[in-house]
Amino acid sequence: MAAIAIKVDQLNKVYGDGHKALDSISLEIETGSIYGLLGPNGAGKTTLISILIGLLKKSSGSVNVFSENTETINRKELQSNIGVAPQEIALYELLTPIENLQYFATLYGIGSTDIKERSKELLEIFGLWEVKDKQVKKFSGGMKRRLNLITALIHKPKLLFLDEPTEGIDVQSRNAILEFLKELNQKENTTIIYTSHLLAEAESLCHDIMIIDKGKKIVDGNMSELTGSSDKSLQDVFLEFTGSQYRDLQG
Amino acid sequence: MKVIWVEIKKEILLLLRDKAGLALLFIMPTLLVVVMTYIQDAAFRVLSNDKVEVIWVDNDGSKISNSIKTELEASGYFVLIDSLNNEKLGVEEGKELISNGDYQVGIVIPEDFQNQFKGRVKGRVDSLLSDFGLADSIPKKNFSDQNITINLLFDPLTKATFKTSVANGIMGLVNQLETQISFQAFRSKLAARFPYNPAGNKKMKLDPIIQFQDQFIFKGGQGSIPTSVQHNVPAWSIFAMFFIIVSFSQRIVEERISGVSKRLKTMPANNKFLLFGKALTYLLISEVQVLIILMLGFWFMPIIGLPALEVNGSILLLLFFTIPIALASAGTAIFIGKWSKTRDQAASFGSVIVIIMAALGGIWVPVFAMPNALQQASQFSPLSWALEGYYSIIVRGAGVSELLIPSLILLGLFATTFALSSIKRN
Repeated sequence: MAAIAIKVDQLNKVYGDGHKALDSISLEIETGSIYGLLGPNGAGKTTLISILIGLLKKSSGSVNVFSENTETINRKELQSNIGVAPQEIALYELLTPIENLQYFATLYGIGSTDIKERSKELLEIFGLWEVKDKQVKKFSGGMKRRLNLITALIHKPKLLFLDEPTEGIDVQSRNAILEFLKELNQKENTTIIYTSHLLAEAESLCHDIMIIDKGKKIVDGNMSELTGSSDKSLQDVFLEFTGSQYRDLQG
Repeated sequence: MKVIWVEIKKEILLLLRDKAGLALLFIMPTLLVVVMTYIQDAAFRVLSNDKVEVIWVDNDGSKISNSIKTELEASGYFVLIDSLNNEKLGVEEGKELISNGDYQVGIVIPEDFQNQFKGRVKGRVDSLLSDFGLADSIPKKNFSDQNITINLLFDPLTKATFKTSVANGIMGLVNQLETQISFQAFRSKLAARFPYNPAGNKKMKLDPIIQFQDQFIFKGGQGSIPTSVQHNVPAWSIFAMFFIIVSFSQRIVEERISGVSKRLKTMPANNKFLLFGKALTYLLISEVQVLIILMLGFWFMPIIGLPALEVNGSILLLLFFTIPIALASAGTAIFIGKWSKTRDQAASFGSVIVIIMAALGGIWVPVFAMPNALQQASQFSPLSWALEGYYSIIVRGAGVSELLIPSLILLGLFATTFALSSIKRN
């Protein structure tokens, strides 16, 4: 059995206004797996990821990353091993890709020679080397998304958190990102935690999936466990568990 | 240290790429200092050095009214305009010129002025002599006791201080003339009563007995009178330094909205060092701003006819004292940026708070001229302490010891706002 990268036990999060965003969530993510976190708007996905990456404090329960409790773990060491690509384009638009990567990589403590090599490697993979000296503000949405992902990969993290990494981009960029993620997972054994609204994308990418709704875990398992022996798609399963009503106002 | 350095490098790159931001940081303060100094210098000259042009309408045309005119012109403060296009000015033309704003002041000498004046003087002298039994006969009261009115006309837009100083100047000269003529009449009467006195008909000139002398008291006994440049350069430099708050706080909000700060929080870099790096960047910018403005004061101001900036204290000390000012400004900007939800909120709150602090700090109106309650409130404006420190160096030639308290207060503000911003981040 593979080692456990993340273990969450009875995790609860109650906000100051009394809203219970997470309700007794437990999960285990194996090292080297791609784990999909799916749910309608307001389900608690972002809250769960925010707690896992240390942006938000939990109300109760425990979170272990690489077998160490996040309350006692050396935060710098943990942060050096995780990469985060937020849903937003978290880049300085007035800087070039190279300048952005140099800045963020230096904050990860990477030396300047390694930064140059790694930046070139990633920018070439994602087709941005030619525009390395252009300001990011002049990029298309797809180019920005790719650079957003590159920034999360610059320090070769063991654990990669991707919050809707293909949101609002063209098919080519989406395909490039998904192919890269699969390759990264296979070659580097990087554990990837991924959220998306695109169920077909999750179906093709993820080894394991958890569907979360109203702060509670609805169901988890690999694709065959979720769909069973029937011809149901992931979307059928999703709608079966979360219902078909609108959720926009519940987030 | 590496984190701080990389943050400074990044912030400078961002600034260099932001043309509007650069203009706000360097061109706006430069223009502000030049324009405000020029305007205030002009106002200062009107009240001190330059002669005031005064409409002169003489409806009497007598010897005495001419004497008043001569005295006013001889004072060196007034240029009397009695005709335009070779036509003598009447009351209506004078009023029109003033109401149009072409001139700010006018003097109207009434008809029969000399006769009435002489009559009043004669009546007073006769009455006085009679009281002492020196009159040849009991004086007849031929003249009214009513005052003779010289009308002073003012443009309604004239500032009260200007109006008062001009009116006082004119009245002082006319009163002096009145006294002189009265004494002369008295002397002539006595001469007629005592014809054997050889000094009886001697002309007399009455110079004022009491004189006032303005003195500026400088620390150490030496110094020069502060010029408009010495007043305005420090005031508007400080305003510019604090105006950075508007763009700086927006930049911090932008970092949060774009998700960059979220990314930064997941990285193994100390966020306090990043914030400190930002503060140091704006410290560098402030130092450059002050250097540019000082150079303007030294070399550009004289080119446009303003006095050159004279720094009575040490320029190095001035640049050193800029550190706590810039840090106080940066700390406030970080605080506003961290606690504002949107860019608009940061921009509005930042600009309003800077303007209020500038007003309380004496940038527009000196603190001593404010009501007591506002004078007390000015203690809470960092701009007040900053201005006090700059004036101390530029005008009074102060040393390090005099700057200790303002520096500590400004650094205290930086420490407080920085700590509160760090709390928000955590």
